[in-house]
Amino acid sequence: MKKHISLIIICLSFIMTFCSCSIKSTEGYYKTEETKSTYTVNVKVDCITALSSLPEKLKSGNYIPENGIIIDTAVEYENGDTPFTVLTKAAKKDKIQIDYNGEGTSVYLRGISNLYEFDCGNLSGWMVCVNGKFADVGANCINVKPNDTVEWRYTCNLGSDIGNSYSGE
Amino acid sequence: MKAFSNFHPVVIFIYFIAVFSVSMFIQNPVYLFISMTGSFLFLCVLNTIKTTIISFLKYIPFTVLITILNPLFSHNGATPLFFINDNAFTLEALIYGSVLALMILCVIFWFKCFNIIFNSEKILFLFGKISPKISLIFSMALHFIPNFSKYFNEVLSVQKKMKSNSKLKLYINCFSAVITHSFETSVDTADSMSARGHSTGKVTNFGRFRFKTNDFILLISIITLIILTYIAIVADNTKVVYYPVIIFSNSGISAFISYISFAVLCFLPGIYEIKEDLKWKYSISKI
Amino acid sequence: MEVFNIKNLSFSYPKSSEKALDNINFTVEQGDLILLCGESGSGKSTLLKMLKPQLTPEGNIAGEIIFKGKNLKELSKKESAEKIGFVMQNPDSQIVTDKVYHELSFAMENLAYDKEKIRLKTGEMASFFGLSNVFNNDTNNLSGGQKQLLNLASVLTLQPEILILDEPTSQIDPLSAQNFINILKNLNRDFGITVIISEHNLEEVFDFASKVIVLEKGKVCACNTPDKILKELKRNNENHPIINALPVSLRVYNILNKNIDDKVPLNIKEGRKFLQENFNADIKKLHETDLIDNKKKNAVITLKNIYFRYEKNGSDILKDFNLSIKKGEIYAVLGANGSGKSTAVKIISGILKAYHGKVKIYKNENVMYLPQDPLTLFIKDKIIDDFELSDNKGKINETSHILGIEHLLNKHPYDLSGGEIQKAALAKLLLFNPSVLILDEPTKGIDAFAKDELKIILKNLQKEGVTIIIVTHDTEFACSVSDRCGLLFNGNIIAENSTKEFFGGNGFYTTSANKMSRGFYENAVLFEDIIKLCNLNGEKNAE
Repeated sequence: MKKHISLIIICLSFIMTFCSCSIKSTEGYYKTEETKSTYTVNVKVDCITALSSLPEKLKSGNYIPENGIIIDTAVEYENGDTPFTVLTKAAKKDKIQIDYNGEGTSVYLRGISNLYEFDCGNLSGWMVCVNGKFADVGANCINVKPNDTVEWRYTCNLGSDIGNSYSGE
Repeated sequence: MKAFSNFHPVVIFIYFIAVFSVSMFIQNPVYLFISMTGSFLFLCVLNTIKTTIISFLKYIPFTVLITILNPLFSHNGATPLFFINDNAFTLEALIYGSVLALMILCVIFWFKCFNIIFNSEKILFLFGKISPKISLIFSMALHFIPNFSKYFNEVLSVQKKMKSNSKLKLYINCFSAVITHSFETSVDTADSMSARGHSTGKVTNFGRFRFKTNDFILLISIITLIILTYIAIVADNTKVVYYPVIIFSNSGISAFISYISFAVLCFLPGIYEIKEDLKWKYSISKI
Repeated sequence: MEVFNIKNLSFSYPKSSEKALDNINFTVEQGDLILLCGESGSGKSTLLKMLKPQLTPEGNIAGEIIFKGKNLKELSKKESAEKIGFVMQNPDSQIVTDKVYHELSFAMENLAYDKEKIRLKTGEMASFFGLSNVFNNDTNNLSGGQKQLLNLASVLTLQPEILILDEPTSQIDPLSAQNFINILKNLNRDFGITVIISEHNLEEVFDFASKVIVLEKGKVCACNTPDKILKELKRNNENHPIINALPVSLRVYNILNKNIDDKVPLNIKEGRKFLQENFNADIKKLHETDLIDNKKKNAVITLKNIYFRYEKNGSDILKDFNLSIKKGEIYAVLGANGSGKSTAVKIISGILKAYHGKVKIYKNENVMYLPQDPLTLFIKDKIIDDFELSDNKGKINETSHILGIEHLLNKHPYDLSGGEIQKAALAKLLLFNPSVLILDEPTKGIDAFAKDELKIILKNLQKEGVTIIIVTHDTEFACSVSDRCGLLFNGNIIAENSTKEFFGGNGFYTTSANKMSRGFYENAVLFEDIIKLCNLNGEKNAE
């Protein structure tokens, strides 16, 4: 009897997690929504530093443009937007793949357009700067203002090659 | 006694290392598929076909779970099928998950075969080659552990008949009593060991295995086959890239040779068992 | 040629003023079989351990032990390991490794014999000791008797010149014990191996020994050939306690014969001859007056059509097993190894459950079970702590007084002798106020003196109305204490009768006294019965 109860509980919890997930088809996900706000935020994603040492898997297929700029667009501003949320909006708009871990303030971005952290050596990964200033907290912890410029830049050397003065400790 | 287990332990051990090294580290579905069918055939011969199929079916939910879990946590891949909570569930991650699942299944099945073929005597022999002391400790442990649990159950069954206030306390008390008992008997065991000349000096290790011509032939074939298999692997001719899109490099003859030799390696014990079985049946029918 | 020459040997354990061994002198000749006897705690084990350098305990040693003209201390480790073989009491704890063949090769591996020799010796030993069919088995799965044979075989692989055995048969069943002793006799007679053995049960070895040494409180109180030992014992002390442990023929002779200079009957065959030559047999049978009519008594436990097996696909240990125990009786369940005796009582006590059949225990009956290993009853560091775990703390003093274990209460269970731990275990069970007591092999590993004590305790409990079930191999004990006996064979009770009838009727499964008086007197199953009958009939010469 005990065994049955635990089995039922496991099944129920599965069903509940399944229900709480929102599942969208590819078309549904990439469908652009109507503009409500007049304010925008500029989003740039580049990986210029990675161009010289691209991994084998990205050399074929059109994942990385030749100039290294993956996204350069403006997305609409909503209250409470963060560098991370504007990136997801921009990626959605341009149909670019992104991959991240975690929820809420502890979100950690692993890859954009299949370019992942550690793809160009042990010190490589994505960093974000707002209006030219690198953030020293998580990408989902600070808010952006209208007309800000959010840049996601790929570094091959803990940020020193893209001018992040904070790093180097 | 199974025919394959009559080979010299060192040879059998090398065989399993060869098979495991490919099955565990090379994420190529062709190798894994070959390895899977090889282990399945071997296990069928060692056990019965029925029990093998049943144990295979038991692992299906587990494989499905791994296959589904991988894309839920890894959103890598160029072909999104749908989005869960705005995260891509990609085809590549799904395929990679299934390859992972197959790999784990392979390892489990080969390990089952290993367990049947490689009994404690063979393990002791191998250890004894390296260090007689380790071999002795291992042997003593194999003697001690069943004794310990048997005595524990005995004490527990007797003590359960006595009234006691808490179950946990009873278990702890019984456990400590069994530990005391083990110490007491180990004094005797130590006496018995020294009485029979333990730690008087040089030690030999007695194993009942001899290296025969058959062992030599098997060893040479294993080494040849595994080298042939690895030529293509080292040259990246059978490499599979899963992200962002799946690239299956199957360049030419060396990959083909590699697959064939690995297949021969995996099917070798199963076929050998069947051959020996038929030989026996034939010799019986002649009588 | 002398193998051992022991001169003025004294020994005391550290921090103890008492001498464990006191001024011991004797010699052991090549090819001798020396039998060492004495009560528990008389120093037998200590003396034997002194003869094996690896096992010699810490303490103050005075005197000399000469081994083949050389002081024992001067022997190298390797030499003493090789030349002096030692087999201990407990069959389980001596085994070191997990496989039989590995255990056999263990000693030779230690002394770095070459592989071919090891291969030859293991095979030879396995064949000689009948261990070939278990050669590849786990040592854990052997029976007690097989384990002890393995221990002996493993020691003999080194071809020792002298074999020392410390109560080797006390933990194994009588049939295996007999087999073990026969092999020893064979080794001594045919292979010339010198043997020193200490034993509780003297029936089997006594007449074969070349010398008997009786120890008492660390001193040699008699040392002579078997036929002269009785006289020497009696010269020192007319009622020496060890006399009660001697073979039944000697005890009968001791009581009935006035002048001990005659030829002493050393075994059953000679005992029978002694009876026939010296006594009349006009009265064949004792008049039984105290036979209890069991049929009128109520049953307290009944088992009906019990079937039991340990594993799903295993064979049945108990098959259609039926048993009915009457109120206030002592019932003995006898049977060979593996006949299911222990299983049956475990089912009665509720530790195991039968898959078919009914166990009925009548109302208000409190069943307590004393397992084969009484140490499993104790889980604390002191006997008294374990007693206090029971509800009945007020009864502790009274119970321990009755059983005479007051001086043991503060000891650790492992420091007690076999007889003492048995009594302590019994005391623990009595604290639960049992109305039915089940004892599994209560006489395992205890000496004749402790057996007598146990017998009296059980008889007293019976008078208080406790029903007792005993499972035992020990025919002498079962015969002297029980009212009814049942023989278990192949999963059910094949014979059941009052004790006298039971043993009187059995051909082989019976007591030594009955074997000795067979065909001369009827149903004389106890030593006391023979004495009574002889006194009734009178001596032949007197007519």
